[in-house]
Amino acid sequence: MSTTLLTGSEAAAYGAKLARIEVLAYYPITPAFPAMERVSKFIDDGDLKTRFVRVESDHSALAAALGASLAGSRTFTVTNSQGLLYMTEVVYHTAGLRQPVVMAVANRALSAPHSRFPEQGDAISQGASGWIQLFCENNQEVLDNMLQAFKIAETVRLPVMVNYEGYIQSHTLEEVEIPNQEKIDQFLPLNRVRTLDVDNPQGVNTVASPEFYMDYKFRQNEAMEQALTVICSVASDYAKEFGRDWSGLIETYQMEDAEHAFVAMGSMISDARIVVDELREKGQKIGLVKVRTWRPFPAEALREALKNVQLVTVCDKNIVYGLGGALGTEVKSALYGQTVRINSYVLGLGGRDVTTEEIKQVLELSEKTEKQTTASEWFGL
Amino acid sequence: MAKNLPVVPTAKAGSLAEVPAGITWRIQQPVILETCNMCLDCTLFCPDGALVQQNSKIVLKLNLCKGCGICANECKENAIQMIPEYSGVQGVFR
Repeated sequence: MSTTLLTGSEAAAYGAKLARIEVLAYYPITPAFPAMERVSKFIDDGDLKTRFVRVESDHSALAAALGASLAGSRTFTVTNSQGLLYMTEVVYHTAGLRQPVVMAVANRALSAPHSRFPEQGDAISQGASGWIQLFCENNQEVLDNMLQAFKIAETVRLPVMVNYEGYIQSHTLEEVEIPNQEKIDQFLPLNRVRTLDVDNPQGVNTVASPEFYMDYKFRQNEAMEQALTVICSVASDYAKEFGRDWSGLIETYQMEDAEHAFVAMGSMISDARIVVDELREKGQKIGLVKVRTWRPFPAEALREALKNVQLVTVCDKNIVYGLGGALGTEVKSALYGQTVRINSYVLGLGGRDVTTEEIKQVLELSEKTEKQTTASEWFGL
Repeated sequence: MAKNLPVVPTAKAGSLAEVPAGITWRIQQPVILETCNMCLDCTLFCPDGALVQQNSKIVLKLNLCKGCGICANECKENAIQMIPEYSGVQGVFR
């Protein structure tokens, strides 16, 4: 175990190294590329025995990763924004073929207009794809979630995205504790399942008539529901081994007697902790709910965590056009029937800065708003 | 109750080439029961010529049948029963 300064991208690369990935398939894109650079350096230095598949597009990158996974190898890829959209067809293939591929996504805004700056719209666009999606609040969590992601993926046989925001996380140095390799090997033994086998040839992705397609989808969704439990047990096993508890689906902070809850995911969480502490000192009964697992959506856990509050403020760094912020919409649906005011805000799109100051302003605005916002309000225009 | 299918949607290599062409869209197939009185109505109604008379019996040609069930619907004796293709986790197709 050692502590060092790492960017989010490097933390993802260290996670991949500790997981002893066997195949990396990658096509360069900003801001995800430093993760690939770091993994390729590990390979070049002889610290990691991994086959690096260089491809001609993001679509091919995930296709190569999917093929490698079907052959039974522990497989990793990295991308963001346009790359993730270009992969979309294979994103669905990977989930439908139930392959435990892990993908780090350095969340970036989607074109058009062109933007290279952070927001969560790319991950949100894949919300129906059947991938488990974890959001990280800092670089330590990026590393820890990478390791948990492989464990979860290989248990429920579903692919996992590890999301961290471009630049804010991918390019910012933070102190990160790197766990001991032997302990990781014990925590994360390779659960190899080969679909491609030369001695027993199989046709993969078979034609499924109406009689079968729906049943396959039912099983896939069933695995997603099973993941709700597995994610929690993997998180608590990890906490027992390595002393860091990122909780499973959601984490509550200062929620014991809270009347007002701030709900968000990703990089806003670290800032929100500071804001909550500050407002608590002033006597406000405010708390924080961090959504760590966005898919499968932790509706039950949120209902439980928010059952005693009067006001919920949800912030989204994404916009589903004509609907609002994705998390805001889903929190409203999860809390259907509970008597609570829910205000949903869209902010920080395309890299517009969200600091502790903005979070404070949103919370204040939300408290002053008498009527519940119907869709999502735009903050910071 | 959802069917018990392989986790990864797979089938034995070459299985599509081995089975009759109609199988990828057929979800059921007709079975001629003993109560058949050889009226031959089904052979006239079948849009694909999949039911034919052979040695005083109605015989089903699976490579032509699309599983539409018109034969069973038209049979006055109720002597044709449609049965599902699904036969369990290993075979998927019978």
